[in-house]
Amino acid sequence: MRRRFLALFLPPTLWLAAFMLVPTALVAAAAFSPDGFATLKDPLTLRMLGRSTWIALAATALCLAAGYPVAYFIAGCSPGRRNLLLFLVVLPFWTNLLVRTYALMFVLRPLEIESKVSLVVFALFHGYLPFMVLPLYASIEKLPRRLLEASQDLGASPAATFWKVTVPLTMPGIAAGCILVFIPVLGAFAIPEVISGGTVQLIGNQIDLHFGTTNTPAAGAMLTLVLMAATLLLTGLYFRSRKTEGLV
Amino acid sequence: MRRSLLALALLAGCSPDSKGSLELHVFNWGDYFAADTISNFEKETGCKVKVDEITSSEQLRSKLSRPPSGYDVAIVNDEILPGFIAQGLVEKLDLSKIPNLKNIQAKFRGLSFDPRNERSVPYMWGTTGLAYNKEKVTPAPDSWAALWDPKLAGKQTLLGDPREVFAAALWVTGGSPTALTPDAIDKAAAKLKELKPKAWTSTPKEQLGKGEALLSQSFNGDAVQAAKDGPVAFVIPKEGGTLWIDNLCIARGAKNVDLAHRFIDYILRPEVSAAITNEVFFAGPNEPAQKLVKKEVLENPMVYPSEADLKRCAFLAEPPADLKKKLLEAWAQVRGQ
Repeated sequence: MRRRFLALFLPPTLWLAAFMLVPTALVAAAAFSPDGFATLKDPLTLRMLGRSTWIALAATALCLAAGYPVAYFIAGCSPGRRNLLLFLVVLPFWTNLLVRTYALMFVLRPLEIESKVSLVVFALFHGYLPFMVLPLYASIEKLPRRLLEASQDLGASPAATFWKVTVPLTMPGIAAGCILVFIPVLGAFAIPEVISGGTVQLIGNQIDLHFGTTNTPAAGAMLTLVLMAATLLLTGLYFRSRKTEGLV
Repeated sequence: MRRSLLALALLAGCSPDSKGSLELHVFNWGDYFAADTISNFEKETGCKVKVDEITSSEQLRSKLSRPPSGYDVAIVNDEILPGFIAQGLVEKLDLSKIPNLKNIQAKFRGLSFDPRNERSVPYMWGTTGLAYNKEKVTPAPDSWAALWDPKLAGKQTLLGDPREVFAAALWVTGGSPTALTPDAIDKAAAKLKELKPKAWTSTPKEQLGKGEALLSQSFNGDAVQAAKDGPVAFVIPKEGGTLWIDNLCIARGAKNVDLAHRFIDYILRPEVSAAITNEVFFAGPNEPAQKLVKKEVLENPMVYPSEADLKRCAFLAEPPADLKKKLLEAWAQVRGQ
C-alpha cells in the first residue's frame, strides 16, 4: 500500500519540483535584487499591469458574450451534431497560433482600423474563444432539463428562467472559461507583438523585452512574479467561488 | 515579415529526416539572404537549414551571451562583435576550411575588431537612414525630425533596435550617438516618448512598398527592396546616419562546426554573394562578385552611397557599460509607455 502510494505520489512531486519549484525559485532569486525592487516601484509596472488587466478583461468579456450562445446552441443539438460542432470549435488548434495571428492580420488589414488596442483585443478574443466555449459547453450540457421545465411550469418567462436558473447553474463553466481565457491573455505577448507591430505592450511583452533585448533579467523576473501573483489571486478567487457553488 | 512567415512554414514543415541528416541553425537579420541561398545549400549538402530572424543587436546579444544558444552561424554586426570576440562568444574559425576568404576585398579583411579574421568574416555592409514614400511625403525629408512630423503620425515606423532608434532621437535633440552622455539619453528618451509609430520593425519594406507606412527608419537595402513595390526613396539625413557591417560568425557551443564552416565558405562564393546583393540590395565585400552584380545595382546610390553621404555616416561603437545600461532602461520605458 505504502509502496503504491509512493509510486503514484513521487513522479508528480518530482515533476513539480523540477519544472515548477526550481524555476520559480530561480526567478525569485533574480527578482529579489536592487534592480528587481526598483522595477516594483517603477510607475510603469503598475500602468503595464493595469493595461494588461483591462485588455484581458475586455477579451474575456467578448469571449463570454460570444461563447455562451455558441455553447448553448451546441448543447441543444443532437449528439452526432454536437460532436461535429465541438470538432469545429477545436479545429483552429490544428494551426499554430502565430500562423493564425498572421492570417488574421491580413484579414483585418483592409478594414484599416486605426486603434491598435482594439485590434489587439479582437485578436486575443479570436485566439482564445475555443477555451471559453469548451468548459461552457460541458457545464450547459449537464444542466438538468427538468429544472428548466419546472421553472417554466411555475410561471417564469424564458428570460427569467435563463437568468435565474441556467446562468447560476452554469456558473462553474462560466468561471472556468473566464479563468482559462483571462490567465493566458494576461500574459500574452506573441499576439499583441504581431498585431500591433510592437506598439501595444502588455506585461508579457515587457518581460520578453527585459530577458530578450535589454538583458535586464532582474526586472523581467520581478514582472514575472507580479504576473504570477495576479494569476494566483484569480485562481484562488475561482476556487472560493467553486466552494459556494457546491450548494447546487 | 514574409521572412518570418517563411521561417514559420519551415518550422512547421520540418520533420526529422529518415537519414538523420544534420541540421544547421542560422541566426540572420530579416530579408537578408536571396530566396535560393538556403535551398541551394540544402540541395548541395543534403542538410537541413533553419533560419531564425534577428530583430535587434540587443536580442542577438541576449541570445548568444548564454551559450549554447542553439545557433551554429550568426550574422553579427560591428557594434556588438568586438564584445563577442572579447568574451569568446564566437568560436575561432578554421580558415583552412574557408578558402573563399580570398574573395573578400582587402579593405574589408582584417577590420579593426578582428585583424586576422580569426573569428569573423564580413558578410554585407550598409547604412541606416530614412526610407520614404516619394509621392506622399513632400518635400522630401532631409532630417531625422521628419519622424516627429505630426502629419505623418501613425504612418511612420522605427527599427526595433535601441541603439539605432536612440541615434535618431539623439540627432534630433542635439546629441550624437557617438558621444553619449546621461543628459543626452534623457532628452532623447523624452523625445521618443512623444512618438506614436505605426510599428517598431527591422523590416518595414512591405508596409513601405504598399504605402501603409510613409516614412521608415530603415536599412538602405530594405528601402531598395520596397522601391520595387512602390514609390520609395532613401536618404541619409543631414544630421548623419549609421554605417554598419555584418559578419558571419560561428556561435560558441555550435553543434555543427564543420557544417558551419562549409556554410560560411559557401556564402563567400562570388555567385552566392552576388545573388544576395542582386536580390536584397545590400553591398557585399566580395571582389569577384562585383562582376556578377547587376549594373543597375552597382550604380544605385541607395545601395552604394556617394562619398559625400558616407562621410556623414559613422559606426555605432559600444558605449561604456553605465551609459549602455541607462540607454536600455530608457528603451524599456519608451517601448512600455
